[in-house]
Amino acid sequence: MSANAEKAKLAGVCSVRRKTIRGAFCRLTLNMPMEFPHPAPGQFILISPQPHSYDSQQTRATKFSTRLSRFDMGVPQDRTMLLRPMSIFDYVKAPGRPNGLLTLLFKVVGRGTLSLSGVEPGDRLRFLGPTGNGFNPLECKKTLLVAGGVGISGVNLLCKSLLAGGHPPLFILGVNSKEESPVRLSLTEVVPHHRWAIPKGTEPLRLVVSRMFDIFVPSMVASIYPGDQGAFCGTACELVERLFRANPAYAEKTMLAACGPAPMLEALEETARHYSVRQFLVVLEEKMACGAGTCLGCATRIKDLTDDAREAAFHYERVCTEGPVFDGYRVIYRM
Amino acid sequence: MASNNPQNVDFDDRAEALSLLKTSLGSMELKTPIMIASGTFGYGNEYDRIEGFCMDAVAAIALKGITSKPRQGNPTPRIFETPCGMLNSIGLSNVGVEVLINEKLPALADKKAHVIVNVGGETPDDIIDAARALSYHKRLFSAIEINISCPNLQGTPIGQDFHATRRVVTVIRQMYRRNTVIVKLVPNLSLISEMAVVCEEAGADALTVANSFPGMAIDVFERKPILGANFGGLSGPAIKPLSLLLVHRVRRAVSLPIIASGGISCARDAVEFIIAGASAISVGTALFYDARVCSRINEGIVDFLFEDAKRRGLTCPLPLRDYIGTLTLNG
Repeated sequence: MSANAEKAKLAGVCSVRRKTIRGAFCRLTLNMPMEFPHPAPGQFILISPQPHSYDSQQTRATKFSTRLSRFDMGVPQDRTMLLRPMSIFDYVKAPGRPNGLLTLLFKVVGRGTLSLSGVEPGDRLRFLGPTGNGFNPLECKKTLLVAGGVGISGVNLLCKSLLAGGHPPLFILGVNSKEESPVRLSLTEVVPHHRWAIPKGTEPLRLVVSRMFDIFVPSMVASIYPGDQGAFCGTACELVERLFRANPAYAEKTMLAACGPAPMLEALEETARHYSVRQFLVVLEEKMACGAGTCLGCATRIKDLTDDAREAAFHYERVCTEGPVFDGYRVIYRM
Repeated sequence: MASNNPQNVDFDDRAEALSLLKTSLGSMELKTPIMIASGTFGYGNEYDRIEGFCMDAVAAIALKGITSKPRQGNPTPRIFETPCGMLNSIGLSNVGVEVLINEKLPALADKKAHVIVNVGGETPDDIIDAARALSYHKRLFSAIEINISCPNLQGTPIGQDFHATRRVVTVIRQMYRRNTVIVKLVPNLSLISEMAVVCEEAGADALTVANSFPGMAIDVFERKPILGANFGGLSGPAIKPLSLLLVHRVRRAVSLPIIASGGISCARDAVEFIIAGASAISVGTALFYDARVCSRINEGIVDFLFEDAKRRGLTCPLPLRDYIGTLTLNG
């Protein structure tokens, strides 16, 4: 997972094009500068909740022509200070357009995300990225993507690129309830010609496809809230377990990629081990300060490669540089 | 950016303007007063990949604190943002002296800035061991910074103990005749001026004032500290007034050059520290949220020098070094 580690990073300024807030979720569409490289699936950007200070301060400098306006600039004012790492939910560069559009989808959980949800269309924000090691070209043709809630941001771009590559994945989204879903769900019965994506032997299960993407992805929604008509009642992991139980051969041929809360990933690891899933990748998130690999703040515990993988020693790897995509069998999820 | 400023018509030559910023630290000549604080710059090459960061704006870089043996560091989470600051508890996670000497330092040979090696450890002997291993490769770096003040190790930092500090500094001074020896002080020390005197007597060439302040944050629903190691070091603009006072106190106590460190994020901060008595200033946390901060501070200082010259009716600006320690207290 070091193919794109050496690629040049980019820091720059983007502008907010659109902001949509739905419940606790915020979706920001950003106009990226021309030089912004196409992000690889799994990569992320760091984005500042502070509107770019040079603009406003330089305008002020010319307006009031004070020499010292540059002298004071740079002290954080009303918003949080550090850049926030965010998975790239979507990136579109239309042919003929110089600028790409990057979409972030996040849940407001603390001061930083609250600050970031306070930006307005037209605001210019500093960013850093795309950075991190994304998904390598995959060795498996069959892919099962599992997202827990807003974890959909971490795997959505991979889903899109798999579709474009002609290997549609099966997508499982776990949500607490339809109302608490990060994307709008309209649940419909599985379309017969998409049935092939669903492993054989799972017939008794009521399979559901949601139209949560512009493009049609064979997908299933697991909701722990029983009232959601059409969704599988239970956790995403229980749904995965059920698919594998019905068709163990499918598990052995599948690449499982997941992004979501740690307990979900941990449960998935157990399931993946039990059914010997061929490849299990996870997208991790961690609090970051620099995003460049210098501060070592985003470290996560990775099991050392030894014969006894279960209780082996561990070392720390940086989510920003060695990650955010890790071999799910080697991550230690428990705090 | 300075060239865009209509105010700079009287001083077109950027290079000449920046020459006003030259300062020195013992025998080390610095092209600007800006240094990068240890722990925020990795092993010196990580920021090459970040557009906007300009090595020309920086006089010296302090590498991540190094110990005689590699260290894993503290449990996670290690970072938490607080109002105008951040807590960190990395816990001296580092590759160890051997890897530093064999891999990291040779890669910095053609850096345009001085390289400062930061040595740390849990006990005085750990620090001395790390410094000794490095002393056979003195040519690879300009200065050695003795970190007696890491807030993220078990127990009280060595820098709170006068005898231990005296011993460490004396021993390391004897190992390094030519390299500049810097001591990074503990911030929350009521007798910081006495500690500065101890370091001066033990032969230090310069002092870094100071490390991050110990602090903590609590998750109210879990009723547990947020940081994996419970406590951390607070850095960022939140601590600037605290470290400014420390620089002032240390300045009054010793004549050693001071590297100010703590919350510097703009040119005004830098000039405040210089007037309080610092010869150089260290930028750390600000770099995390703005990679251009160092160039911006340099430009801002040049602006200040011109403005100040104008207000005082001088024909040309004074060099920055004339401002060091020019503070006069009220009444």
